[in-house]
Amino acid sequence: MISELLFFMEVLVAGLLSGTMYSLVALGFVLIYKASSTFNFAQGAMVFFAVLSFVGLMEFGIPFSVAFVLTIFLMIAVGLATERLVLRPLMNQSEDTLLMATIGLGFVLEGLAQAVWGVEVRRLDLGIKDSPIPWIADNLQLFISALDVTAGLVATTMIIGLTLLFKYTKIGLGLRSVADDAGAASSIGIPLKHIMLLVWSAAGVVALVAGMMWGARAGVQFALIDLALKALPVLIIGGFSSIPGAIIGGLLIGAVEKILEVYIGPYFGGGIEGWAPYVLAIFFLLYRPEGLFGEKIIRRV
Amino acid sequence: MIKSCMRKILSTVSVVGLLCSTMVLPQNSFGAETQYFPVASSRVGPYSAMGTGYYGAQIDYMNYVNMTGGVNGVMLTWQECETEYNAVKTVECYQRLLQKDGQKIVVFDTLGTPGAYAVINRMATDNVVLAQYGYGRTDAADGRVWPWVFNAASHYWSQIGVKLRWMAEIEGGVAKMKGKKIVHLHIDSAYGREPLPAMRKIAADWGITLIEIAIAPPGLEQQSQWLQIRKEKPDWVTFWGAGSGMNSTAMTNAARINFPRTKMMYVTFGGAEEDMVPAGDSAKGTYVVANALPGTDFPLVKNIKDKVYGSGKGNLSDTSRVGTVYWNRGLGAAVMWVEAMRNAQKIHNKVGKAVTGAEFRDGYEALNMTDERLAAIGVKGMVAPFAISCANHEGAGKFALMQWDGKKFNKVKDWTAPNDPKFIRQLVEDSAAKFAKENNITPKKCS
Amino acid sequence: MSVDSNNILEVKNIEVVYDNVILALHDVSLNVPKGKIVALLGANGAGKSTTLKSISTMLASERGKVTKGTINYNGNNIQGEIPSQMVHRGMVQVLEGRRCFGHLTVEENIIAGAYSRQLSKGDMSAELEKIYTYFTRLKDRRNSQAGFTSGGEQQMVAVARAMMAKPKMLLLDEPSMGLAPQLVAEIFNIVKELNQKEGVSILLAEQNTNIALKNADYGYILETGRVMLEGSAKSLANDEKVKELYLGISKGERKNFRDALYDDEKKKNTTAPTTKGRKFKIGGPILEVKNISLHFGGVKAITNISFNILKHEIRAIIGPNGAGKSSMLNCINGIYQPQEGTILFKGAVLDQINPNLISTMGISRTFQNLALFKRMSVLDNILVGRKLHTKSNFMQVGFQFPQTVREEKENKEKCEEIISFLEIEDIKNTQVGKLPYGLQKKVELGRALATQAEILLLDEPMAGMNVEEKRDMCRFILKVNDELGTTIVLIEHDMGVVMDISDRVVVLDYGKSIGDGTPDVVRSNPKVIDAYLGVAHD
Repeated sequence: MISELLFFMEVLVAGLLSGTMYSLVALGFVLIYKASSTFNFAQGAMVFFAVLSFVGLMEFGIPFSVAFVLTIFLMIAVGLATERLVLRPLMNQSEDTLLMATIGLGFVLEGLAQAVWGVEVRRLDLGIKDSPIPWIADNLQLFISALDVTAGLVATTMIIGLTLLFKYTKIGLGLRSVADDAGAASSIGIPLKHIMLLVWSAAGVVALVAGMMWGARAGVQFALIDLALKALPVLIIGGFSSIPGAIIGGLLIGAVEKILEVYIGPYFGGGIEGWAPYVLAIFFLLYRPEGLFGEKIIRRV
Repeated sequence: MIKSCMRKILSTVSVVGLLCSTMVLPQNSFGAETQYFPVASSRVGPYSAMGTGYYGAQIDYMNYVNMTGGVNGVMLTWQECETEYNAVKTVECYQRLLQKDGQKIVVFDTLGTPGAYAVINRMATDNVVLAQYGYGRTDAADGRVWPWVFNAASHYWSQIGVKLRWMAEIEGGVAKMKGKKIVHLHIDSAYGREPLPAMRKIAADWGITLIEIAIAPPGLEQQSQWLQIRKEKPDWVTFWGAGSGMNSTAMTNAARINFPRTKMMYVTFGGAEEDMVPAGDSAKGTYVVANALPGTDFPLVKNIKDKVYGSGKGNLSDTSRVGTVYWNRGLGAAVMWVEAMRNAQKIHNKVGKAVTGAEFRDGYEALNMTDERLAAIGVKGMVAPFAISCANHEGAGKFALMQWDGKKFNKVKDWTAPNDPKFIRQLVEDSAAKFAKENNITPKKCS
Repeated sequence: MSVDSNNILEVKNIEVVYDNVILALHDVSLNVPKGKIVALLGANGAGKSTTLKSISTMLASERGKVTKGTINYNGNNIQGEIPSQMVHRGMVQVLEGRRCFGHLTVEENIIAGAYSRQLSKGDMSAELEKIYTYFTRLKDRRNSQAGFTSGGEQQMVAVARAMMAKPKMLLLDEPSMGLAPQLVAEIFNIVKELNQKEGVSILLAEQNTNIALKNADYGYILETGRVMLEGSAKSLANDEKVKELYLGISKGERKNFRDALYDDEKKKNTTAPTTKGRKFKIGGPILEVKNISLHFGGVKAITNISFNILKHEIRAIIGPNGAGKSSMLNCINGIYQPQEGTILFKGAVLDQINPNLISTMGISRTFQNLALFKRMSVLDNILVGRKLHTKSNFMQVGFQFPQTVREEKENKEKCEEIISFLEIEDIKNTQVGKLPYGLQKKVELGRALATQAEILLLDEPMAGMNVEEKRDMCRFILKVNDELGTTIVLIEHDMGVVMDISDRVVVLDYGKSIGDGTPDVVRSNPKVIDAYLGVAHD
C-alpha cells in the first residue's frame, strides 16, 4: 500500500516536472499571442533553430557563455528580420494571414537551421546530470532528476520575470495595450514595430532556453520542432494569453498525461499520452474556451 | 481581399517550393549503357540521421561502381526524392521516381516499414523488386506468396529470436529464462509491434512474462513508460524505437531510474552512433543488434573513402560518418543491388546491358553471398553470409550483437541465428499462407 | 489659403484613396486655429473619420493613402510621419468607437497614454491627479477593468488617455456615438473645459450636429468626401439648410414623423394616397410582461417590471444607458431567462424557451450592433430570414423536390416584395458589408420582416444615424406598422423619434419601471424628466 502511494507520488512529481518543460515551450507562444493574437506556428522551429545554433557555435570552440550571448543576439536578429520582412508587410491583415505567415516562417527557420548546421543529432551538456538527485533518492525513495529540477527552477524564474515585466514596466504596459487594441495603442503613440520586435526577440530567447533544457535531455535534434504540438493543449488549458496559465497548463498536462499513461494506458495498449492531452484540451474548449487563466472574452450585451 | 488571398497563396507556394528544393537533381551519364536506380531518401525531419547515412552510402557505392567501370560496363544513374520517412510522401516519390528517360526502376528501397507497406502491393504489377533490408513486412520472406518482395538478409522475427537467444546465453541457458520478466518498449506504430507475434510465442514457450509498453512518437518524453518499468522491475528491456530523439531518450530515462543499460537490447533501427551520442554517459553499456556491422577497416569501405571521397565526390559532408552503422547498412543494401544486377545480366545473357525488373528479380533471387564472394567485394564480416532462394526471401536470418562503450560500438557476439530458426520460418509461412488465402493469391511453386 | 501662424493645422485639398481604388475624400480643405474647437460634421460615410486619420497618419495602417494635397501641422508638412511621431509632436487622435484597452484597468489605460513621455513616478501621479480633476467619475473606477465599465466611462477613458500624452491638438472622432444625451453633455463639458484650461486645439468629428455646434467655434460640413459648407458655429446653426438637414428643424412648425410621412405620400401620389392611417386597429394585449426580475450574480439588471404590448401598436422602451432596456428585450426573445415573473405571448407563458423557438413563434428582433452576414448580398440576407418558413428538410432541398422548388420560388418572391417595400431594389445584389450603415440597418429590418413575425423587437434602430437617415428609418417603421400591422417594440435614445412615432412608452431606470403611458403622459412625468435631465448615471 505504501509503495503504491509512493509510486503514485513519483508519477505525479515526474509529471509535474516534465510539465514545466512543456511550460517553457508554451511561454514563447504566449508572448507572441499576447502581442499579435496569433498562434505562432514557427515557435517549434525557433526552439530548434536557437538551440542548434547555440550548439553549433560551441562546436567552433566558442565558450558556453559567449555562445549563449551570441545566440541571444542571433535570435534578436531573427526577431528583427521577422518584424521587417513578415509582420510589417502583413500589418492589418487578418489573423489567418499572419498564421499562414508563421507556418511559412517555421519552414524557413527549420530549413535554414539544417542547411547551416547539418542534420546530425548533437549532444548538449549543460553540466547538470539527468540522473536522480542522490540525497532525495536515498532518503525519500523518490527518483527526481537534477535536470528536471533545474528546468523547473528556470521555468519558474522566467515566468516570474516575465509576469513582473508585463505587469509593472512601461514596456509591459505597452505590450498589453497593443495586445488589446493595436490601433488604439498606435493612436496614443505606442510604436508598434518596437513592441513587435521586442516580443519576437523575447520569444526567441525563451525558445533558446526551452531548447537548451530539452536539448540537454534528449539531444539537439529535429524532433524538438514537434514539441510545439505539445504546447498547444497546454495553451488551450492555460489560456493563450496568460503567462501563469502557461505554467499551470504545463503542470496539469504533465501530471495528467503521466497518471493516465501509467494507470489507464495499459488498457489501451499504451501510448495514450500522445493524444490524451488533446482530449483534455477539447473538454476545455467546450466548457472553458478562454482556458484557466486566459483573459475573459469581454462582451457587453 | 485579393491581396490577402495572393499572400496566402504565395506563402503556400514558397513552402512547397522549399520542400521541393530539397530534391537533388538527377545525375546522368551520357553515351554508355545505363541502369537507373531510385533513391527515396529521408534526409530531413526526425529520421534524417538514419536517412543521410543510409542513402548517402548507396550513392557513394554507385559512384564507386561507376568509377571502377560500372557493372560489366553498364553505368549506374539515379534520382533522389525526399520522403521525410512519411508513408504518403513515399508513395509520391515512388510515382515520381518510377521512370526516368524511358527507363523504369527495377528496385525500390523505402528504409521504413510504413513506407514499405504503402507501396508493397504495387510491386507485382509494376515489376519492381521491393528490397527491405532488414525492415518491412516480415512474412514477405515467403517468396512463394511475395515473389517481388525480399527482406534479405534478416527480418524482424529472426531478430527478436536472436535477441532472446542472447539473453538466454547471458542468463545461463533457456531454462534460466523461466520466470524472467521482459519489457518490450516500442514505438506506438506497426513497426513497433512487428516482432510481437514471434516474441509472444517464444515468451510463452520459455515461461517469460512479457510486458508491452508503447511510446507515442516523437518520444522525447518517456517518463511514464520508465516509471512503469521501475515499478515492474523487469530483467530485460527490448527496445524497438525509431528516431534518435526516442532512441536516446530511452537511455537517459533508464539512467534516471538507475535501470542498467547492460540489460537493454536495442533494435537495428534504434541503435546507431547518432542515437548513442546524444545520450552521453547514459548510453554506456547498451546492447544493439546489427545486420551490418560498423567499421572502416573493411576493404570496400576503405576503397570508397579513398576513391570517392578522395576525388571529392562523396555524398556526406562529414567524412567521419563513413563506416558508421547507418552508412555501412546502406552500403550493404547497395552491394546487394549491384550483385543482383550482375546475376541478372548473367542469367539472361545481357552482360554489359541494362536489365528489366523481371530480370533483376531473378538476379536478386539468385543472390549467393558466400564468405568468398563477400571477401571479393570487400565486405567480409560486415554482413552475414547468405543465399536467397525462390521460397526463402530472407537469406541469413542472422544478426551480430554490439555494445556501446561510450565512444564506439564493440562487437560482443558474432553472426547468430535464433535458437529455433525452423520455428520462426514456420511462423512466416503460416502468416504468408493466411495472407494468400485472404487475398486469393495462389502461391508460386518453387521446385 | 496662405500659411497662417494662427492655425495649428492646415489641410489643403487632400484626396484620399483606400486600397489604391476606393476614393474616400475628393477635396477637403480645413483649418484649425490654435486653441479653438473645430467641428467636422456630416452623415455616415461623408469622410469625417478618413479626414481625421489622414491628419493623424493612422491612415496607412488601414491601407489608405493621401494622394493629393498637403497637411501642415504646426507649420510642418506631416508627410512621411508615423502615428508615434505625431504623438511626439503633440497630436493625438481619439478613435471612433470608445476603443480602450478592455483588459487593462482604467488607470492603466490612462497611464498608457503617457507612453510617449518620459515621466518620473512623481510626475506621473501628479499628471494622473490632474486628469482625474477633469474626469472625476473615472477616479472612483480607476481599478476596474476598462472592458467592464459603461460606454460613457469608456469614452472618457479614451479621452483621458489621449490627454495624458499632453497633446497640443486633439482629434476626436464621434465622442457622442451611442451615448445617452446627458452623458454626451457631460463629455462635451469636459472637452470644452480641456480646451479652455489646457489650451488644447480640437478637431471634432460628429454626427450630433446640435451638440457639436453648441460647443465648437467653427464648423465644416462634409458630404461624400467634399466640404459642402463651412462657417462659424453660430452661422451654421442658423443656416436654413443645416437646420433642415442636420438639426431636423424646418422653417415652419416641426412636424412629427407620422405627419411627415403622410405629406410625403401625398406628394408622391396625389390622386390616391395608399396609406391613410392604420390599416389595423390597435387591439388587445399580445404580449404581457408580469413582475419580471433578472439578475446576473449579484447585479440586478431588472427589478419587478410589468407592462403589456397591444396588438398592432408601436411600443417604445426608453431609459438612460444601463437602465435595463436591452436586457428586457433579451428576456422577451428568450436569450435570458428571468429568475422571477412570467411573460405571456398571446396568453401562453413563454418559459424555458430559446431564441430559435421564439422566432418561429412570431417574435423577431434586430440588434443594437448590426448582426448581418457581411459577405452576403442584401437579397441573401433577407432570404435567411425566410429560412424559418421553409418546410422542406435538407434531404428534400438537396434533391430539389418539386415542393422544395416551389417553396424556394415563393421565398424569393416574398423577399422581392420586402425589398420593394423597403425601397432598396437598387442594392439588392450588393454585398451588405459594402453598404453604408444606414442602409445596413434597413437590410436588418428587412431580414426581420422576412420572418413574417407578429412582433418586431428593434434595438436602437437609429443609433449612429443622421437626421435624414433617421427620418427614413422612421418612415419605414411606420409603414411596416401601418400596412402590415406588425406590432413593434422599440428601444431608442432619440427622444424626438420615440415621442413622434410610438403609441405608448415605458420608461426604465436602474432596472425599474418609472413611467408608462402615451408620449404626452410620459413627457410630463417628473420622474422621467429627472432620470433624463437630473443626475447622470450609467
